[in-house]
Amino acid sequence: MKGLRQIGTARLLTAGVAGVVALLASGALVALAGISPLKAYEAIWTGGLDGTIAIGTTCVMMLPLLFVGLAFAVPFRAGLYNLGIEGQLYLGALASTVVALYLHAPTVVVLPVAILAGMAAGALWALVPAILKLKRGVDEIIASVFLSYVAINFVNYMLAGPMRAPHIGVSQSKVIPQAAQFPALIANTKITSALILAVVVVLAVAALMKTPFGFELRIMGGSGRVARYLGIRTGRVTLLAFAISGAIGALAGVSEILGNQYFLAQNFSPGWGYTGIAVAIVAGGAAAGIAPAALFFALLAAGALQMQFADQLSPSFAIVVQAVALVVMVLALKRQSRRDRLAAAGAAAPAQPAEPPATLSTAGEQT
Amino acid sequence: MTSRPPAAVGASPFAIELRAVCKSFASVQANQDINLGIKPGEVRGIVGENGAGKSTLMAIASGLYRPDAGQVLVQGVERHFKSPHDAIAVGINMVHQHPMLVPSCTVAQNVALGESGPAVLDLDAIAEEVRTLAERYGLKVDPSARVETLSPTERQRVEILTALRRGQTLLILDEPTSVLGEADIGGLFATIRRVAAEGCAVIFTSHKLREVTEICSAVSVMRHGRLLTTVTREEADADELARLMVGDALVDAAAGSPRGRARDGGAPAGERGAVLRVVQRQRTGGDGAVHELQVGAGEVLGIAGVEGSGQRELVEAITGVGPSGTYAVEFDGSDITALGVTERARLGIAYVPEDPNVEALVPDFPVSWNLALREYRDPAMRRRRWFLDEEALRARAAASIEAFDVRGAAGTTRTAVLSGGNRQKVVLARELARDPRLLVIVNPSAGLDVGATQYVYEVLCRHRDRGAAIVLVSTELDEIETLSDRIAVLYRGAVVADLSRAAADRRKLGLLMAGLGTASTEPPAWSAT
Repeated sequence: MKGLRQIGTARLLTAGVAGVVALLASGALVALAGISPLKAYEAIWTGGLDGTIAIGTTCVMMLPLLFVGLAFAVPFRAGLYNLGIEGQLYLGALASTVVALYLHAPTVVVLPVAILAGMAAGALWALVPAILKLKRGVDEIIASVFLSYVAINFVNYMLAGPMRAPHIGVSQSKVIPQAAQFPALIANTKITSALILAVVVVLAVAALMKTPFGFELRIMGGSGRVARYLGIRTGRVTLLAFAISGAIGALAGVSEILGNQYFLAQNFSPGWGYTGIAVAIVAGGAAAGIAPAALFFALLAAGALQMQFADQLSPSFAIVVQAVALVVMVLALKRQSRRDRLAAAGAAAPAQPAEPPATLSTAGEQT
Repeated sequence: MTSRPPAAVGASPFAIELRAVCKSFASVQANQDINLGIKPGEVRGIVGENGAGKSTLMAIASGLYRPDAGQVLVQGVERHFKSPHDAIAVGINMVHQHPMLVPSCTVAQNVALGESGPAVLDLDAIAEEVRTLAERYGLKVDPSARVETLSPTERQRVEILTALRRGQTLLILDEPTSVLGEADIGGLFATIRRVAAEGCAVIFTSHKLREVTEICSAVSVMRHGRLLTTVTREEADADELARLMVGDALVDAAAGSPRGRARDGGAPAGERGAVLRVVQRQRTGGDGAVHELQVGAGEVLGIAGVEGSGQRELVEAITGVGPSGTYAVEFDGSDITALGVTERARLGIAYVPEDPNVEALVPDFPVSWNLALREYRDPAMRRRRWFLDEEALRARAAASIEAFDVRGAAGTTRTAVLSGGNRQKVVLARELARDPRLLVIVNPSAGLDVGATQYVYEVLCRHRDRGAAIVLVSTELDEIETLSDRIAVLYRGAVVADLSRAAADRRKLGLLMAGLGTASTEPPAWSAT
């Protein structure tokens, strides 16, 4: 019989194995096409790890996925799905861009304010599906996905109209002043202090899960009826979980705009709000696993950039590896939960009389 | 097409034979060296406490589990079942305790479910077949009725019909009487006799030993994963079986003797002041309805009633889990109607719900977490102010596990792998940990075997003697009569009687539960037998 910690370790191990299997299997696919898989692996090395510039690229690729993965993991613990992180990160990016452009102050003031504004925007937007669920019984999955489109198009409208930078042919904001940018940790690289923010958030989410609130999330995810029996205010927990999720998800947009692109453009996210969910799932929903999983995906993405410069290789390789990793992981998790269920079925199932004992005949016996 | 077992194959006298079968789950040896042979036409009872290994044994016989070691022979031929499908193919069918049917489909559709046949099912032909089989075995049910409209009894008939139609080498009935009223049990037994008379072997399990000795030609007793002995019907009596099942432990609970109160000269009930008062605000019960219930320290108030008479509403109003509805609730003299579950729990109200495995335990949690469900916000359970202290949880769990003798468990054990009796113990351990002033408990022995039931009763009595007020809601009159000092009866959401234990005889309770209050002086026609 396994303790939870062992189950957690087993999941992490599974995730690691999934990554390796995915790399090998995708290598085999490349080999089938008659190209040496070593070339692909080499591209990942040179594109993602070889030197500070490459590592900076990996960082840039990792941060949005990491934030989205963590954002998804919080309500996921309670059995709730925030699939609207894409919209939340757009609104977060918008809010922090507005602060960055119009609040003229030194970095120590403007950067934290911009970050908090972004988080607040994401949190508020994430609350909408949660409120709809609680008040009207709307499925939070559907509501959050659809609300994403509203958010994205609102941001696109702002960039095409009110916030559009003058004299440029495309719809984007003005360039964000240096004071509002994440300062680089290593000069001339994309290794910025956004990385510190990421570390803080990872630790915060991991810690959150160990608090009584995190325990309540787990109880809700484990059994809604038990949550009711205990008198847990599930409505409040739901709202809080979505607000936290939206705030963290928004950081994906904030860190990208203030730490990499330095201006807000229409459709600036290549779908991080969805890829990040894949990252969370590959990590088995555990906060501790999301960081390595995001790093893995980021390395592949950095490698994919590099592959564009290599002969014969296609950046699609990265996508193939990601997809294979996802499938392997989902299969492994399914297998594991099936094993758990079988072990559970092994113990005698409790009886519960579905019908009352026959009163009439009981009384009849006495006569 | 009714598939029949091939006519007598080989020389084996047994429809099914298990040889030296072993099966273990993690550290639990569920079945150990089981040898068992059942002849065609035999009705074999299998009895044992929860966790004795009955379910595992039946799962192996029906192809759900593969044994770790040993052989399964069907009509003398060794079989390696990979799934229940393989077992069904040789005529072995299991009727589950809780029917596994699709509620929105008709009886005929359910019967045909899982069948490999032509692409388009001839449902009319199947319905006709069902009708024929139903008539033959006395299993009255309408093939075109939707399952969701059927009573539990009828649903079980559908399951049995499905099994009989698939094949008749061995029919396994897992606690079939637990969903039946007493009137329907006779019908089921007639069906079993008919099926057996035609040469089908039958395995029958039940916690009610009197039933087992009535229907079975031989009874096998399991304990701790081993098959202890098999006795014939002539040798078996219920008391003897109970003794075999639990070992040498005393079994007065099984005998149904009233539960002696360890009274210190005995000021019973109420006299020490009411701990709980429940007042029905809207007087709906009509004449003779009782509008107020009280429980005092050291008193057990039994609440009888057929299922669905408003037990859940009453219990959830008392515990705060549900809306208070028409009830006003007073605890220790102050009105708590407006308080939530957590506040009431803090005041000292403990609650063991009807199906603790579903309502009071998170199956995926380790036992230590489930034991902490009431206290995880306590500072004592925290580490560095904010975080749950896993060490403290585990230490507490270890103490509870020992105090309540939860067998085969550690704090880190996943709760779902425990047996029903042990899960009940985990809930009791948690709810009684802080010596509550009031305990509300619903059907505490449902699904428990003799030993576990006995244990639960002892725990209840211990806390009653300590001075706890207990509200015992049960649909089992035996249980109510064994434990209660006062007995109230619920009928259609209203309390229709509040009697002292002495004034409540079984006949009176039966009438009240059926809605025939004290006013009815004439015995109604049905009781004239």
